[in-house]
Amino acid sequence: MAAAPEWLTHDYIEHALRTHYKDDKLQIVHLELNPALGPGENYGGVLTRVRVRFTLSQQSQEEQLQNLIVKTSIDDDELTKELMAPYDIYNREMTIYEEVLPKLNELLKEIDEFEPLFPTAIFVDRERMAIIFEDLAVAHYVMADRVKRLDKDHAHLILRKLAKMHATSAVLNERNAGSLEKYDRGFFNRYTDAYSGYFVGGLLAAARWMSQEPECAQYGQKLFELAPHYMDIGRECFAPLRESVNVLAHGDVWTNNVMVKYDAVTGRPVDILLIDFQYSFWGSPTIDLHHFFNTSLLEPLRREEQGVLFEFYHRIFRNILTKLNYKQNPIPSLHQFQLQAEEKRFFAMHSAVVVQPVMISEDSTDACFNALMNDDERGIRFKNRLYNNPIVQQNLKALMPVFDRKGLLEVNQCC
Amino acid sequence: MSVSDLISALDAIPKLTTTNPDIDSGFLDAPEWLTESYLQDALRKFYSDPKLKITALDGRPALGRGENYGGVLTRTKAEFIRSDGSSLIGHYIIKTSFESDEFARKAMEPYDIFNREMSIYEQILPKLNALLREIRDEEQIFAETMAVDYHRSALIFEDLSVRGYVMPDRLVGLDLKLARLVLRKLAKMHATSAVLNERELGALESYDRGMFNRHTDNYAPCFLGMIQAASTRVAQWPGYEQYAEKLEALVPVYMELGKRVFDVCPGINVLAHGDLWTNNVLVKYNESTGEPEDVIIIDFQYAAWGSPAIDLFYFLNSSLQLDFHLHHQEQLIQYYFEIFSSTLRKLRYKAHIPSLHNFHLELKKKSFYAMHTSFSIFPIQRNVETDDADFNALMKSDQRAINFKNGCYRNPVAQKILRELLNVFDCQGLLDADQ
Repeated sequence: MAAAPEWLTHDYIEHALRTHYKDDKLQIVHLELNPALGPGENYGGVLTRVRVRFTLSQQSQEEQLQNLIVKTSIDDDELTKELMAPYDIYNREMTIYEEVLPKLNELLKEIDEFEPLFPTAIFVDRERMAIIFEDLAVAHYVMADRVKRLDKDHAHLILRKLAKMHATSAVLNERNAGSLEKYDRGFFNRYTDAYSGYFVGGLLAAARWMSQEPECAQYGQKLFELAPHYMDIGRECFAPLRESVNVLAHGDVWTNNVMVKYDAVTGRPVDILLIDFQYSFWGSPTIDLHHFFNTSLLEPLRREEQGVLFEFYHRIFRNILTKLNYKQNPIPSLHQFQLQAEEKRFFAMHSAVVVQPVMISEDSTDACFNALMNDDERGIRFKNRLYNNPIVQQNLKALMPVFDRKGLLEVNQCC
Repeated sequence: MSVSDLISALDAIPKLTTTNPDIDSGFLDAPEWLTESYLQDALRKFYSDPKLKITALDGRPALGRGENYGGVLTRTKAEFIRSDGSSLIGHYIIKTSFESDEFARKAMEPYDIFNREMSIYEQILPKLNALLREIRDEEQIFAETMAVDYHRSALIFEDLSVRGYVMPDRLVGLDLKLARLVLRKLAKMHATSAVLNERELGALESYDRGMFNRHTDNYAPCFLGMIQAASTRVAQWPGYEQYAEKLEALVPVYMELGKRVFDVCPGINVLAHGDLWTNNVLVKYNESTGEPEDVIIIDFQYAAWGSPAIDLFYFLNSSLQLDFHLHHQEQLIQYYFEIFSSTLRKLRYKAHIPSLHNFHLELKKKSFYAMHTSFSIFPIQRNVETDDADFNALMKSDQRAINFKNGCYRNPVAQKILRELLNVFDCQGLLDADQ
């Protein structure tokens, strides 16, 4: 596990709490720091758990207990830093937590919607690229099992929160003269192809496996031919749709980017919160749905009930837009929304073929960001192993014919 | 089903009752001008042989109730001698309008069915054939036209049943092999029509009277009546009440939604057949193996310029066996598109040919038509209560017509389609009045 950053000291945390509580005389009584995640659990940052007892100046006898999560950037090697720089993930997430999400919350309050969608950021430090959150684990929010994946109950909760986030972001953008449209550095963007090591590398590893399976060999061949065009097609997919409702998409909705609260008795999920806004971008809301469904939904839910889930999401999305008087573009009917989903279905193929195998891998050998992003021997071996997973193989055997007949494996699919 | 089974099935279809068996020289229940000398003149013209003489003639109605709502078909066998002394037997289908039925004539009038069909047979189809020959494709898509009579609204075709072509059983639906045969012909017909229109600077774009069009709502009693009958049936099923309400709520906007399917939009457009279902397709089965070998498309009464979706959604939602209707449409469209796009390319079509992905998107904008066909048209075509199955029952709103339509939904096959597809179409937003 990655160690806590050295600047994360007693004084630093005290300063952060003093700023948040607006109390100069706040005193830390006791402090505990522990690393929070293991390899393969999160490639997007170092998480440190902070358990702190402190007193406020007004109640100096009473000890307050707070549990925090500190998210800091990964101390990557220079090469990776350079690779990742154009995505600007740490700045983005800080700006979103500091400036965007609180405004979305205000919009929800306007229409008497009070349930939280995301955790509250206590403190944002741009200099050190750090965000301090309330530790949700204390309120019994946990991460669901990424290998087991999510059922309908989880899906409904996630879709409800996502719909509200999307809808309010569309309204915020309208009221703020297009302020969210500058978010144009999602996984596919026009500034960099740095993720191609992962995406195209993964695609080729998938193609290599398929070529060895008689029933998939024809699809493998198509993937080989698709590879040189893949990043361009992704870029096209991420482009906002004209004369449609675009949103601030989360950009990376999957099991590990939601925190779930379970009922202690029944074990069913009762709430979820969205986290991790490093790859948020302005575009079609259907992209988040394709990513979520194809990385994180149980079978046969993913194969058989997507239609119902799209409808569920759309109802809430349209409802919130209507209540907030959104006017900039026509609010799509369900049929029109389904057309949008079809237009962006390349991302469903991408999520199923390239992304999901990483998400549900139980093989932690070489499971690190470097192996993912690079095409060296280690990186190739790591990606090849992803497609030895029998669950991945079973999924792809069922899905490749679907993607093929939709024309999503073709080089010219954007024409 | 063997070939002989099919032919017996065709023969077993109840015939229209004959009123005057003695009248005329061999034609039963046909218009009065349809005489032996009329046919003789037509054959003389076709063979360019003024001395051709008919020696024997046998004509009878070709189809029964529930098989054809679009006109009167008479099947004729004629023995004749040509001026070179050769003796031939010809088999023909003679198609005429609803002369005697005032209501039918008036209802069909704005659709201009017979004139349109005639000009298609006389002018358009031969040109489409020529385009296929241009790329050395010898495939036959349509029946050969022997004669076109604008004055009497009559058409004479070769009777393909003699070459072994039969109508598939409309109650069973087509399997994948047959579906692909039909789609292959359709793809070539569509492609050549797109090219013809391009070369003749928009000549096909005047065909704007498909089943939904911006000139008339005459078929509204049929379509709306069927949807209302569907709603009545669905309302009886526990758990389906909300679907019944949605169907009922569609009625005020239904015709407009249908017209939008037929509105010409940006993208690739073709001369659509307009009524492509099992009864407008003739199949030739191999005599020894019983496997389908070839199909011919007939009956272009409703041809209209517009999206290929008009034919694809209509065919795929009316004419397939259940499993394929529910689960195989997308791959059949992929199969169609492969031939459609490659034929366009071979003919050097100049305008943009979409990718398969974008073609699906263009079609999907017209998805209302898939719902319409599955719920309003399919039950008519699979109807087994044929006593009252005629044009009046379809197009009127009187009690007889209502009873007929309700009867269509008594059919368990129609009910199965509703049960399977209501949720599917609902999730696509196609049951929403504000779609």
